[in-house]
Order: sequence, then C-alpha cells, then structure tokens
Amino acid sequence: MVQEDLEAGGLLRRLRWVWISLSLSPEYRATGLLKSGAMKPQDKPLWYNVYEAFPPKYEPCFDRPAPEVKIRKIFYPEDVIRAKFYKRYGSYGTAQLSDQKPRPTVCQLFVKEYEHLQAKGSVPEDQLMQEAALALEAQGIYLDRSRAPVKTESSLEQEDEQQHPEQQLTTIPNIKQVKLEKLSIAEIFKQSQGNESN
Amino acid sequence: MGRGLWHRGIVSSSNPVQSAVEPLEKLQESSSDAITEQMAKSLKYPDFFKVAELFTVEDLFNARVHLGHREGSLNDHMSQFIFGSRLSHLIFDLDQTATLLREALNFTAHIAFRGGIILFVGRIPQHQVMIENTAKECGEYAHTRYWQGGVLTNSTIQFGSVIRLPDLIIFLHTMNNVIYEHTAIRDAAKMLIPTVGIVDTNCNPNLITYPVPGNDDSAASISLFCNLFKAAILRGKEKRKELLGVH
Repeated sequence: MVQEDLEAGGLLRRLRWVWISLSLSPEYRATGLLKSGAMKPQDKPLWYNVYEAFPPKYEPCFDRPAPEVKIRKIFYPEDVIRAKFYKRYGSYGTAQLSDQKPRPTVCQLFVKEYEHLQAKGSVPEDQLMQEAALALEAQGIYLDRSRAPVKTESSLEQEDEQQHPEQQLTTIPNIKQVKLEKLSIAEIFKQSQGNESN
Repeated sequence: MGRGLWHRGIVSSSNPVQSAVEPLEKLQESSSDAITEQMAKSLKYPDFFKVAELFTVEDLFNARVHLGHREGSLNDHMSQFIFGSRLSHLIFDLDQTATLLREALNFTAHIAFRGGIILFVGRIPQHQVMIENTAKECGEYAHTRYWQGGVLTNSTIQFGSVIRLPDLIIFLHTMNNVIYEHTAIRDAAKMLIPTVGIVDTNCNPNLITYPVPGNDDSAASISLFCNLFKAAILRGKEKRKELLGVH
C-alpha cells in the first residue's frame, strides 16, 4: 500500500505525497486509507486502536506552529548576595553534579550567614559583607587569606592548613578532622619486611 | 530486522505494517475473539500497566533530565516545554516532561502487549552500547549505526525479502552526529510508524508522535530513559503472556 505509492511515477505526485504524509498525523492518514478502502480492515495497523484510545497531547504535524512563549529568566533574591560574594572573593572550590547529597558550598554558607545577620538587623547594610565573612571565619573558613592563622613549627595542624588551604576553606564546620599519620617509605618497607618474616 | 519475520507468533486483531502487497493469512476465528476482547478491555483503563509508578519527578531531577542546552541553540518549538533559563542555560519543565513521558511509556507498553516490534534508535556513540544492551534485555531491536536511506522506505529491495517493519520506533537521540535530524523520524512518519522520542532543546518535536522533552546528552538521563522504556516493554510482555497466553 504505502510502498506502491512510493513507487508510483511522477516527481510532483511524489512531492505532494511527501507533503501530505508529513503534514497530517498518522492516525488521520490511516483512518482515511481505511475508510476509502485502500487499506483493508485486516491490514489495520497494530497501533491504530492504541492511538485512538490514547492520542498524543500535541498532534504530530511538521507544520504545527511554534507557540509564542517567552522564556522567563530564573533569578532568586539571594542572587544579589551571591553576585557580591563572587565579585569580591571569586569562585571557591568545585561542585559535583553527580553528588546525590552534596555538601554546602562556601557561597551557600556565606549567603546563609548574610541573611541571618540581615534578619537580625543589628548590623548596618554596608558592613553586612564583612560581618558575614567574620562569621565564616568563626567556622574555620577564611575568605580573606591574609587573616588565616600564621604557620608555627610546633603545631602539625597548622602545617596541614598551610599545605592544603583549599581543603581548609571547603570544610564542613562541626565535623572533626581526621588526621592522617605521616608515613615515610622506609617505614612502609620495614613493615612489609616484618610481615614477610612472619 | 530481516530475521524474526514470523517467529514472534503474530496473534493480534490487526496486522502490522508491511511492505509486501499480500496481507497475512486469516487468523482462526475462535481464538482471536477472546484475544480481541482482552485487547479492547486493556484500552479502557487510563494506565493499564501502571507506568506512572515507574518514575517520579524527583528521579528525573536526579538524573539531570531538566538540563537543556543554551538559549542560542534553542529550537522555537521547544520553548513551550522550557521552565526558564538560568543565566542562558535552559531548564526543562519537569511537570510537562513527566506527563508526556507517562503518555509515551503507556503507548510503548500497549504496543508491547500487542506483540509489536519496537526499534530503539540513537546515533550518539557514547550511548550506543547502552541502547543496544537495553534492546537485548527486553527482547526488542536496536539500530544505532549508520542509517542507510532505504531501511524503512525501500526495505524490500534493501533486504531482498518481504519485511515486517517496526510498529514503534523509540528515539533516544533525535539528532544525528551532526546538526541534522535522524532520517528515521521523517521515514517513520512516511511509513505510518508511530515514534517516541527524547527531544532536547535543539531538537524539533513536530514529527515525533509522542515527544518527551528532556536532556539527551547526559549518560545518567539516557540510562534512566533506557531503563524506563525497558520496564514498560517488559510489563507489556508480561501481561501479554498472562492474559493472551502468547509468548
């Protein structure tokens, strides 16, 4: 049926057939073929009844016009605070899109502190940024690196902070830092040799 | 597609699309009546296979289905499915996606219930193997390689024998490797084959019978869609075995 139509001669006839086949939904054409007798009832397509019972929401025609929908821009009130943060301090750390339960970013924590202080009302507008930064420092995140604690030789903790400043800035507050022991290769060798002798 | 011509035990009230001129032989009347009745019954329920239980909007969000391309590459026909743009990155309206996805899954399940041949099509190399495996796992077919022009429209000569064409084509990617639409979309429309397709912000949903607006570039989202379609098909086939007594 359909194959025969395609093989029929005449370029114009074929072009017209293509135009019809694409501008009308398959159900409309199948119904037409069945009614006119070109398609016998036993040749009815498998999907015909299903399509009749569950027609698609939008009729599939190639010349269906695109509705005039203006795309709205997504902005939140916190974006103002975020803009100020990124302008002043740049982008700290990265976020993984695949994380199912991502840890809060530095910017999120900053926004939380800022809004908290704003709601309190005790701090004037122009000092809110500074106060929020100070609040983060209390949690152990130093946005202004010059204010970070100075390195002393006695404390191992401060050495770690210096070597891994990025980790320092993206730590979650109130979680204990697990300190890894510093192993030397010689020690590892000694241990493995000890195991072998056992 | 050339193999598997009649081994699928075609027992249905209507015959599949064929390229040959001769119709199938007439079926036995007694068995077909009960089957016809059962098939008509299944259409009365709005969600006979309970495909709405297969996913939630949160699942779509976690699989990053809502992430579209940028405003510059937006196809005007897709603007109605967009929730908004976040600094020119387009975000899909997942409520609309959920509705259309349920429609698509319901249709797929019904076609599988009636013993229809389903063809998975997708032309992006990263997901080729995933799509082919999905088709294998649900006992259907996949075509993720170079599409020769006459596969649907010139099948008798292409394959050299009478061909039963697919009854449903599921597009995991509607675009080819380059900026063109897949040829099969247009050809399926010509051959009266219904299509289901995942349409991204740069795709044209007009010729697809049941479009599903969503992200088609992340492995997570394609994996979710593959699993959903597979589940719908398997549910349809399970009911087919149970109610119609056919494999």
